[in-house]
Amino acid sequence: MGDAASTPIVDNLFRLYFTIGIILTLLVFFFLVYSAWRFRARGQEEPADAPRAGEVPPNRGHPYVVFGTVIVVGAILFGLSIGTLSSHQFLEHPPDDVSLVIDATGFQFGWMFEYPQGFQTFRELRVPANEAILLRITSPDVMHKFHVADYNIGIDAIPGRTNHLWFNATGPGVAEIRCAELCGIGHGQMVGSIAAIPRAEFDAWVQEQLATLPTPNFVQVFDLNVTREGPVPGQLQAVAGGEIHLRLTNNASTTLGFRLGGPYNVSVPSMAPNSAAWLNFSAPGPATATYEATNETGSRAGFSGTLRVLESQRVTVSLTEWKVTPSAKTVRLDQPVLFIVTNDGKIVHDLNVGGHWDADPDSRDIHAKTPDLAAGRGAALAYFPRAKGTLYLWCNLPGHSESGMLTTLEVV
Amino acid sequence: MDWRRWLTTTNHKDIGILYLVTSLVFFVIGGVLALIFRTQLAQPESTLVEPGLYNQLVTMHGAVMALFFLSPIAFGFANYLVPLQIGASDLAFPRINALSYWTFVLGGLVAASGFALGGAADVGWTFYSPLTNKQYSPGLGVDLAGIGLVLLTVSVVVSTINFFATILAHRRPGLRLYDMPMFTWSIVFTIAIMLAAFPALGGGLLMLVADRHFGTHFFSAQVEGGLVWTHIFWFFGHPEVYVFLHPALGATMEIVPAFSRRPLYGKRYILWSLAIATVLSFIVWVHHMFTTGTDERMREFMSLTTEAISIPFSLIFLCLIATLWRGKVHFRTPMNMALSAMSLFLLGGVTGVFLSSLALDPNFRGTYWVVAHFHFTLVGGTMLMLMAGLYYWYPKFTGRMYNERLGNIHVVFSVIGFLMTFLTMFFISDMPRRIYTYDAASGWGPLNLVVTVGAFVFGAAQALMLFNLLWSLKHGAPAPEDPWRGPGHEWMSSPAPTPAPAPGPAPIAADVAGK
Ligand SMILES: [Cu+2]
Ligand SMILES: [Cu+2]
Ligand SMILES: [Cu+2]
Repeated sequence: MGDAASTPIVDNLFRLYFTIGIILTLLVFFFLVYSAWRFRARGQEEPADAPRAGEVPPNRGHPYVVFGTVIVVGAILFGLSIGTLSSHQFLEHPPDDVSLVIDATGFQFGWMFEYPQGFQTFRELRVPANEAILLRITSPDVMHKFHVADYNIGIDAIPGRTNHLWFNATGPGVAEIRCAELCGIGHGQMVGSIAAIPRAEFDAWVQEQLATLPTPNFVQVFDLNVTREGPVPGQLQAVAGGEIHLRLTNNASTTLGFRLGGPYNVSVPSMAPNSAAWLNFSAPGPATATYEATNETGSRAGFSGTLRVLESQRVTVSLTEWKVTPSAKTVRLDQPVLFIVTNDGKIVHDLNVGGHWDADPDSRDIHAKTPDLAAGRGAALAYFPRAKGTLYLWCNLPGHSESGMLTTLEVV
Repeated sequence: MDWRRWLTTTNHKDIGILYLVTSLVFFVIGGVLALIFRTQLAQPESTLVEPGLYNQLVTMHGAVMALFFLSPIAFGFANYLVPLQIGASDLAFPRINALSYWTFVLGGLVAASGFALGGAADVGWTFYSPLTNKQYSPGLGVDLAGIGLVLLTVSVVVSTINFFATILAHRRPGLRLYDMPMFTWSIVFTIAIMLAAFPALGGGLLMLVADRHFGTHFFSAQVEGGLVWTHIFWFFGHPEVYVFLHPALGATMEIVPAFSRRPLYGKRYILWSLAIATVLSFIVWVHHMFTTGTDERMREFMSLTTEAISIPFSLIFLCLIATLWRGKVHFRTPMNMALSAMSLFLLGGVTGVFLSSLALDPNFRGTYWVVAHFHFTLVGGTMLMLMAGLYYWYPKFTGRMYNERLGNIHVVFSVIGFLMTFLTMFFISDMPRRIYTYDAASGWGPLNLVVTVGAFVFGAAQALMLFNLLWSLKHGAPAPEDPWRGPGHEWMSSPAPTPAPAPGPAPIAADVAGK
């Protein structure tokens, strides 16, 4: 459970309202019950001024009772209002030492958080603990309400408008973010989390996020342990149409080199023992190349293998509200498909490739999927068709495929 | 009786009965919708109702209960009782009165027809924009509900003018405004609010339908349309809660004196309180918008006005209790129900003060805390007070007595079921409203089960009341002319059952000339 600087302030105010409220409720309730019971009818006689049908009843009432009530109730409410307005000043106006400003977007159906460092997260907000954080909240579609019950804070996300909400998470912890304004069929699934972590951990996490930004460039990464001896030749299989990154680790006790033959002809002349090196090159078309470890002299060291780059079918897929638009209608079974996906819409989407789409999200058969893509972002996805027939492409964000983000490809 | 009489009648008593019966039919519909979605929520991760249908159910529950049950049932009482209480032979414009009724029926049918035509409105009864835009709600449901409510607006506005004309011009000679019975007075304040508030709803909905179909941009994001809609809607929506409450208080102010055998305490101050509350009710609407980030001065101002509006209602409450003093309190069904409803309303009012706080509300808005609060005021308070009125005037309406024992069972189980349902909701205040299901891990399961069981107890109690009222039509003891020795003029004006209608529509000219 999380906590924030606003939590005790709102809790204290609530306690004040609650105490006064419960005392007043009980007093008035017992006064009501007592009055009714004390003056219950016994016998048949009637008060002198008992009402009669058709008669205008005589006036009753004492001004001092009436004005006394007004003054007492007014004084209580005045006191409560002072508490409210002073707490409100604290909640409404961010302090001067805001350390992080995050753009938050509530969308159908989820939350996106855009960090000033230039990356986004979805559903998960991470902030450094014990620092003032300011959220600028809006929505590209309908109204939502960003609500963190544990922090006692909430504000609406309204299209065309930016609202501000600040908080200071006191101490590490995780709290739940909920949407508290009906926004469509996925309203109940607009759940997110807010994690307050120590500053150092936060900085490390930011670096990690920056290193793994999704892009539409197709990059395949392989790890290769280079040794001196290699009794069985190795086999690597890749898909054409992008870049191949080999991460080489020298596991031997002596210095080794590495060489990849034609058509690539790239090499790393020497790696110290237990060190690593990257070998990056592009692989636009199909090819077969051999690789081997080399001695310091350049001669073959014994470790070897083959890299097979398979021809691929390139299909670009554009995601928009509310359509999934692939550049082809059919793909062949005998080749891997390279989906180059871009989010050309205004809100977050992802692309799922699978053999079966179902109205029930739990019954959908997903073979491959991209991460959540913010507007303008893209991702590449290599996919090996499994059988002839219909392949489904859809966005799996709640409600999106129902709104039209669902299409099919034929595998022939 | 000839059924055709009910289609062509312009008699205020007949139309009053029609309003009562029709709104009770809407009450049953709204209640069944609630029981369906409460069943869905009884267990975590339930799949009984899918999310699209769930949103239709909560939307139509809210719209039907608020606008087609609680608003028109007041017109039922008012149609029947106001002319009797002020000694008018009928409303000022009887045929227009019939028009109002049939427009209301048509509006209700149009709004509810969505269920049969591919999906009712599913955007919440508050119709928040831009969720209501064509892009996000392409179905017919929003249009049908919108048009249904525009029809209701027409019906209501026409009725208010009819009632104003009747109360101002058709009182029996010598009856001063101040001396009018309290129920009629409550209707004066009700129609004053209706006349000023309903056009905002009708106008807003017309703009909304125009945005959907004629390419206008009243609520587009460029003009912060979502915010504009909330201002228009709540300018109607807040005063509307007093449209529900005033007639219910009016009924209570007839019942409490009748059964405590003493005149109402502090009538003069109550009338001032109602007048002040009526005016204040138009400058508190931003308390529904504390989290929209609308102008801060406005939020602070309306937080204060909202706290202030509890002062007149505290006073009315105290006057009602003071009425009991040195009286002879008879615990019959209408009185028991009215006192129970007052007790429940008390908690609704107190929790409303919490929501008036600009600092507390952001944490409650859109959660079950709010749902609990307004059901305490609108159901525990307002609706049960109106049920007390149904029992109280039943002998007048039908010439029969209801069954006292069943009536009291209804009171007891209404209170038990109500508290199980809505008191429990205060304890799941971190659960957002209008979500169709929730994880078992959320821990909301057990209390939701209590809420659902309570809802069924409450529903069964209301079914018992309807049974009692229907059964007593035939089997109830014949009612004496003035069974309660009530304070109102209605108890002496004419024999209890509706007299045979005069042939043809009521003579309007003669009516006016008679005053
Ligand atoms: Cu939502
Ligand atoms: Cu999507
Ligand atoms: Cu309000």
